[in-house]
Amino acid sequence: MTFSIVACDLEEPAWGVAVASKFPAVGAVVPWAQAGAGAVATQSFANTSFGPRGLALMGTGLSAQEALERLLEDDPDMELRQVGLVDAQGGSATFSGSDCFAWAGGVTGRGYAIQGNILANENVVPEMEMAFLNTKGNLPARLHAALLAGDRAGGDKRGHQSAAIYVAKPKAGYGGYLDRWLDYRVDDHEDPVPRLGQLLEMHDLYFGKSPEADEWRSKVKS
Amino acid sequence: MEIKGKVLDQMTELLTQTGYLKDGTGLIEAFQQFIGNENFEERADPEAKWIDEPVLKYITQKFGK
Repeated sequence: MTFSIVACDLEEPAWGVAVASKFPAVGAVVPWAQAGAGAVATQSFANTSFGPRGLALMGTGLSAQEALERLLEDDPDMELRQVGLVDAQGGSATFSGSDCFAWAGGVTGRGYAIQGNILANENVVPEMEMAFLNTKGNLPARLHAALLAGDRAGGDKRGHQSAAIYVAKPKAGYGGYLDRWLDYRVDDHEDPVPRLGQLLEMHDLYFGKSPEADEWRSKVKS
Repeated sequence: MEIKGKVLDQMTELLTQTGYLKDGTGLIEAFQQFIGNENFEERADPEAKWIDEPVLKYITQKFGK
């Protein structure tokens, strides 16, 4: 039902997921991330318990691949599932069960896993990978670039409905209390991936930081 | 951007147009009310007389005449 990218930037550090689907409010189902633990995308007859359980497993120090194996071994319907993970160290894993609807598949690299099912064609995932690797900027920008590339390559063959991005970074949430850095969802829209990009621009406008501002504030306070 | 000179003129005009700056209200107080209502606390500091350039551009475009 979906295409997604799970990725991290260990320098930031941040872990996140971007996802789109012909499914309402995909952001309420697929993306999971926790600073210092990793990120998970669970889709295709999604076993949503994979999200919190995957993060908990990686939070204990398991690699993405080890966490994936643990999740699947308990699931009698594993061949219906698709899941991608990145761990705290940038390890990655992806799985597409043999009963996922075609076209289905995924790819991994250092710090990312990209996967999709019911895709328009086999180019969606490689286009996403190329966009992620070639885009400059912070993790949210690169996640969105990958999602947009997948969308423009055909995306979900049933059409468009929703998209979401969730990125966790230590103490980057509002007020600096929690790690929910970015959590934007377009729950029902005729072209949700570009709309998600507009929301990211809005986020930058309200919450972006300029080096000049930091310099000015410290000068005034000293 | 430091709020002085041309930027100060721009902000004064904008706050007057939008009704925040009126008789009996100081510039800083009006600026604080405006920034609070528009949720730009992270990008402007009325006490420090500072506003980030992208926000100044945005509010000028949105609220300026």
